[in-house]
Amino acid sequence: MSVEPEAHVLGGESQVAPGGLSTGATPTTRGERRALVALVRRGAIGTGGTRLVQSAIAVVVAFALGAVALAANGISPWAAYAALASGSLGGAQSLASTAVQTAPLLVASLAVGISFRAGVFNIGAGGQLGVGALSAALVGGYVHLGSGIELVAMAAASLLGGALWAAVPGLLKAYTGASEVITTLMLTYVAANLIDYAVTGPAKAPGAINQTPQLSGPALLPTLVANTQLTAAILVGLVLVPVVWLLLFRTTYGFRLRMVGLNPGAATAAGFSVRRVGVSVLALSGALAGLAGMLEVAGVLGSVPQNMSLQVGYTAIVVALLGNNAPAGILLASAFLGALTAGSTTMQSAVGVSGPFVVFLEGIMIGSVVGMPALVRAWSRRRRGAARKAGAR
Amino acid sequence: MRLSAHVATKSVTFVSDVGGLNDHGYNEFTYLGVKAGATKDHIAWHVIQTQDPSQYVQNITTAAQQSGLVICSGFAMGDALKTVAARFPKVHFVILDYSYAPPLKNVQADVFDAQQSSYLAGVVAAGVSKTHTVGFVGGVDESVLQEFLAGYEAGALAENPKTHIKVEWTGSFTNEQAGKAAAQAEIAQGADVIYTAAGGSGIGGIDAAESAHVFAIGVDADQNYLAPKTVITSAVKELGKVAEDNIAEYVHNSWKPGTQVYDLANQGVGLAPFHGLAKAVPAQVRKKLAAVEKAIASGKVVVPTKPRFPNGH
Repeated sequence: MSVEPEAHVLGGESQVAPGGLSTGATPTTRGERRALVALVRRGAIGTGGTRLVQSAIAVVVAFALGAVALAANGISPWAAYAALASGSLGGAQSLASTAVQTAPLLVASLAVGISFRAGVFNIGAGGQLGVGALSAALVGGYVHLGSGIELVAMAAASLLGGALWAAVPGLLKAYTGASEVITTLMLTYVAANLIDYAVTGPAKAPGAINQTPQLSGPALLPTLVANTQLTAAILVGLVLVPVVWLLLFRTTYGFRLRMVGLNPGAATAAGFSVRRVGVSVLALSGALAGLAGMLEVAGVLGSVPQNMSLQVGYTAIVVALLGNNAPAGILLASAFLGALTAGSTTMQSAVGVSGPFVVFLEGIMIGSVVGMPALVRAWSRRRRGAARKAGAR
Repeated sequence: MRLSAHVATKSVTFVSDVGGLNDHGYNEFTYLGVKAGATKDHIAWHVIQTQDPSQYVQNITTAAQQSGLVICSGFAMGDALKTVAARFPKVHFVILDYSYAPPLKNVQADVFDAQQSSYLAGVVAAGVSKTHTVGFVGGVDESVLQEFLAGYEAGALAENPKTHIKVEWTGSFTNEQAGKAAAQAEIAQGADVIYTAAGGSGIGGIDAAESAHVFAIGVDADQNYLAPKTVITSAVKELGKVAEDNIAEYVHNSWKPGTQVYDLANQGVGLAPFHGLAKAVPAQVRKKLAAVEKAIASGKVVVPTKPRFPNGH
């Protein structure tokens, strides 16, 4: 059987397609297996330092090109970036804003990161987030339980809603081979329309505004700092970082998941069901994305509005890539992009740079972070090819 | 919090709603008014564009930290503004199309008597209709929007008691397809003038009217430019004037909180010009319009706010 070192998380095309796998795999020798395990380990931890440098370069490139764009429009990049920094880090209010923006982004990015780890390209976290938000809003708006239990029920609903929404592309992929890149993305549009239908029809709150009923008291996350929007949502995100790390690196399931991501052929040879892992990873990823939606609804919005923005689901892809799909990296990257989003308001009001400028920066980052490893990979493929020859000897 | 920043120099910050500054409606015309007013009264102005409803509180807070006058567009921000206004008691806040009961101490809520301009729209509709059938395409079927229908049908029936009125609701302020479908249904039933009181959804209604070569009546802003041979007039809210008034009052220290009603009497609402379609409006209709306008402004005619025929007539 062939070993494909480029079967990598960042490869874009996922490697879990059934049929393309050697399911009736020829038995591998012990030596080959050991080499595979070594490959898995190296892929998981060995390149972390390189990736951090790559992410840092991507950020620098984005800010440099951003500065050029600002200067070309007659705006001082220095003043704009100073406003960005003051709006995200200058003072308690600004820091709170950053944390508010970070919370759902962190959870959605962990969701995306988990799927990328397994080589499954879930780019529909936005849709799963929307369905999770809607599920939580319906439970919170119509089912009244005591304080505490209410939030647990809403979280459960959002996890379930997101998981089911993502399980559909998981099953489609496992049994029909449909690419999850397409199906998860397309289901985001279905989710947006589902929200539209719900808030204009069956789940519309009384009044002229199309939205689900306003949540109150027990259905809202407790505020951490008075006079800010900072709620326990950020704590949920922070707790999930080590939980996801433990899941990925200290459980059998996590090992399988990473193995499938690094080399589905090898995973099959080792006796894992790539299909089962693929479906379950998408469901897990969707569940977390759904939870991010609940945090958004119970922490900030207080209801699901018509045209609810699902942008967090896309920004999460940037975060996961910048953070190298590692929980700690994702924490750093989500705080960074959360700060950008929070600071963009001040940048807008103080210097007149419109909000979507930050999305422009994110776009450049995604381009750099995806482009650079492709260059690095082309180089390392040659190197690994040489190593493989040496190992087979 | 830099509560003192705005004491020395006065400035105004406009917080737009989602939809952006070039939405051909609420945000755009308020923004233009803010710009014009601030320029006229020589104070600095800033804009924060909301991308997503989750930013309302943050955006209004940032605005309040920076300016002594904060103008918020649109009723969707009502709850967020209430939260922020309580935290910045010295800042003056303005919200359009929303009011608080009881009124807040540092917020001016500017509302429009849209039933009055809708009445005039009804007079025009019935006055130019050849089929004696006119259509109404509304957004969300709620009391705020029912005022538009109430005025429209009262005006149409006053102009010609034999007029039939078709009523459709799109359930949305953004869904153009729904607006189109609603207008097409009414045109199929013989309506040859369509009044669209449905925000962005109504633009679909104007499209449908243009394709079917019947007249449309725009809403909120002068929408003639969308279809110059179709939009005979528009029932406008003078959003820019509201922004300018607030800025002038703030600069001259005469700004007051509470609910401020904009109506025909203070020229806060009215009809847009007929532009190139003036010939389609018979002289006696125009004469009647002028008389009715005066009667409403003086209070001689009181326009109802609840529709007599909510499902058409």
